This record gives sequence, C-alpha cells and structure tokens, in this order.
Amino acid sequence: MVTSLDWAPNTNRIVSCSQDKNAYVWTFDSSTNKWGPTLVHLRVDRAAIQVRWSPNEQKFAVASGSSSVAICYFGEDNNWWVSKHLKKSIASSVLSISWHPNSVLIVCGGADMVTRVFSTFIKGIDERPAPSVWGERLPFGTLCGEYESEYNGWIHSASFSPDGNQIAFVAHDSTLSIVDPVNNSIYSIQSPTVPHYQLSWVSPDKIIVSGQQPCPTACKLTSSGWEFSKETAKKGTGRPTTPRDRDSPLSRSSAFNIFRQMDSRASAVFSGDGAEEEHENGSAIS
Amino acid sequence: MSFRKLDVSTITEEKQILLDRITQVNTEPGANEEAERKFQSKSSQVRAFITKGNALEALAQAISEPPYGLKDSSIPDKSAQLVMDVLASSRSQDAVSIIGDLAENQRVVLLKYIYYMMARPAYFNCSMLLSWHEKIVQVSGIGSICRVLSDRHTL
Repeated sequence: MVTSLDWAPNTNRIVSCSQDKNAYVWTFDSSTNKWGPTLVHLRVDRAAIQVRWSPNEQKFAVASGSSSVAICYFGEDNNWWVSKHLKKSIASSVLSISWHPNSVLIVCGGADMVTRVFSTFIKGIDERPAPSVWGERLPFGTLCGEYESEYNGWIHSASFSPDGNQIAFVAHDSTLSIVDPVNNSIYSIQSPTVPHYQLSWVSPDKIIVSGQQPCPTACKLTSSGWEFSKETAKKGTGRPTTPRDRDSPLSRSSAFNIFRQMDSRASAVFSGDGAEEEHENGSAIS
Repeated sequence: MSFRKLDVSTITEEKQILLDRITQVNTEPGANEEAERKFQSKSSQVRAFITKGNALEALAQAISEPPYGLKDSSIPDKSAQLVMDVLASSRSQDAVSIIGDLAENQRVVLLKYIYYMMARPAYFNCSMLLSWHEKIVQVSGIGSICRVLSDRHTL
C-alpha cells in the first residue's frame, strides 16, 4: 500500500513510499508524456510511513516503522539515490516529518511520544547553514532538541514555524504544543475535543489543526498566549456551504447509511457529507 | 531477514526504553513511606478545609501530588477515599463552579481518581462519581478524557 506522496514543484518530481519498504522517485518524460519511476532502496526493515521533499528539492526524508528516518539524496557518482539513517534515541515508529526552511534541519514525531529535531547536513549537497536557534555546527545526525508531549500522547504531526525558529506538534493526548528553543519552553494548549491529527502554520502567529472534527480549527497567538480561536471551531464557518451538504435525500436516506458511515469512517456521529468535509480538512491545511 | 521469521514481540533495547517510558513505575526504595507521609499531611489539611466548608480548596489539596506508579495500592486507595470524602461533602449544585475553578491539569487528575474509584464499585458510590464525571466533561470537553487515557502516570 502506498502510504505517502510528495511533489517537488520546481524540479517536477514526485516521490512515493509504501509499506513494501521502498520509495520511488517519479520523473516526467515529456516525449512520451508519462511518469517513470526510479527505485530508491531505503534500507529500512519496516513500512515507510511518510515522505517529504526538502524545500530545496535536493533531498527527501522518509519516516518509517523501523524507528528511523531515512534521508535520501542523489549520489551523482553512482547514479543512484543514497539513503542515510537518523536513528539516535528514536524508540518507535516515526509518524510525521517536516523540513526546516533551510533544508538541513528536520523535525520528526512518532509513537515514542517524543518530537525530535535533527540535522541532515550532507557534505557536497547542502551549503553550510547559517547558525540558528537550533545550533551552530550541525553535522549529519545531530540531535538538536527532544520534546515530550505533556500527557504522554504519541505525536501525530510536527512542523516548523515559517521562520524555522519554533516547532509545533499535535499529540494523541489532545494537546497542541509550541516549542521555543531559545528559552527551552514548551507551551501546551489543551484541546476540548478529540486529538488533532495534522497541523499547519499559516503565519508566525497562527496554526491550523485538523483531525476528527468535521472542520479545521485555528490556534492564534494572542497577548495572553496561544489559544484556540472560537470562530472556526464552529461547524460550517470558514468554508463555502454546498447544496449537497445536509438535506440531500441521499445523506438522510436511512439508518443504513449512518451505520455504513460509522463503519467506514469510524465516526460515532453522522456528520452529513463526511467525504467532502474530510477533503476540506486535508486541502485546508496542506 | 525473512519477515516470516521476524518475532515482533522480542524485547529489543529500544523497545525496553519505550516500555520503561510507558510503564512509569516508581521503584525507588522508600517511595511508599514517602507517599504515606505526604498523604498524612495532605489529609489533615483537607479535613480542615472540609470543616470550613471550602470545597474548592479541599478538592485542590486532595488531588495535589497524586501517588503515581506505586506498587502497593494502599496509598492510592486512601487518597481516593479522601477525594471521595471531599466530593461527598460538597453540594452537587456547586460542582460545575468548583470544576470550572480548577486548572485543566487538576481536572485531569480528578478524572484519574474518578476512574480509579469507578473501577472499585464495591467501595465507592458510583452514581455520584458519574454525575461529577458528567460535569467535568461539560466544563472541559472530552479532551480531558483523551488526556487521562493517554497519560502513563497512573494511580
């Protein structure tokens, strides 16, 4: 099963990874009008979970179930994608990865309930990064920070802020945490609902989270700290209403549909056109 | 390695790290005596607050410094009984305001006590616990339940 895809817009390449422990880089051949795959041997012994291109599109990272993150880059000498592993102190599956804007640092969070920041500096590929809040000298594999979720929930998603100086992560204990490495503080916000699965920074003072709710929620930095904004927490605001939504005969036709939806989406509450709303979630924050 | 021969249950070094992190057992020698001493001082303060009719302070005191991860269940049992006494002494119409005045991490601890007591229905009044549970969820949402479920620091 293919678990993740990512597209590099500037070099027009797609990378895919799957449970068969492999990744493929797909390049577009304009003469035949087809995408062709190149196998990347990740050297992991469990499923690949998520793949992301670095912002400069020279490398990509693959989170895997073998308690490691594979950092892959193209080795010109061998004409082959080379994979190097980040393993230090990771104790379980890595579920989420996200790149720093400088394409050297990466944040990963996983089932061992810890979010970690690593350096993926590769000689000959990367330029030496400017010193930042995460450190000055950053050889490959440097662990720049480790942050636990407040109530030991495993980490669903972690991400750098747009300037790369902070990270945020959402965990299974229904918290959203913002880490400021300068004073080594973790600001944790408790959500009143079920855990969030994804997050995305839209600006330095605003984060959008989504999960099992039918609608994404915004979290804003106010004068009294980070807090969930009330407006988008309400259903139906911030997105166009579609006529297909609630009152179509299809959606309220029968109890059968309700239970079928509960079965297929594992949702306890019948929430109208679930597919559309879920898609709205994904597109709103990707 | 053939995946058919892979034993996913073997305890590797990294799994041991993870296991240690999720079990959170307090194995320090004298942990029980330490908890007993804390409980005694806490208990007298709580009783004083109950007599004064200050239910909020009594509850906040009763759920402070929970005895996590002890092998012996006598201290958690006594602490739970203390929390029960506070809950029983406060009027049910005050429950929402008391819960609202607690911080979120205190509500999580209170929920842990409630679940601990519900697991022992022979000793504790579950119908009262259920109504407190309902009011906690009313105040802080089901997020608190998620936090109790994922938290490995257990009574």
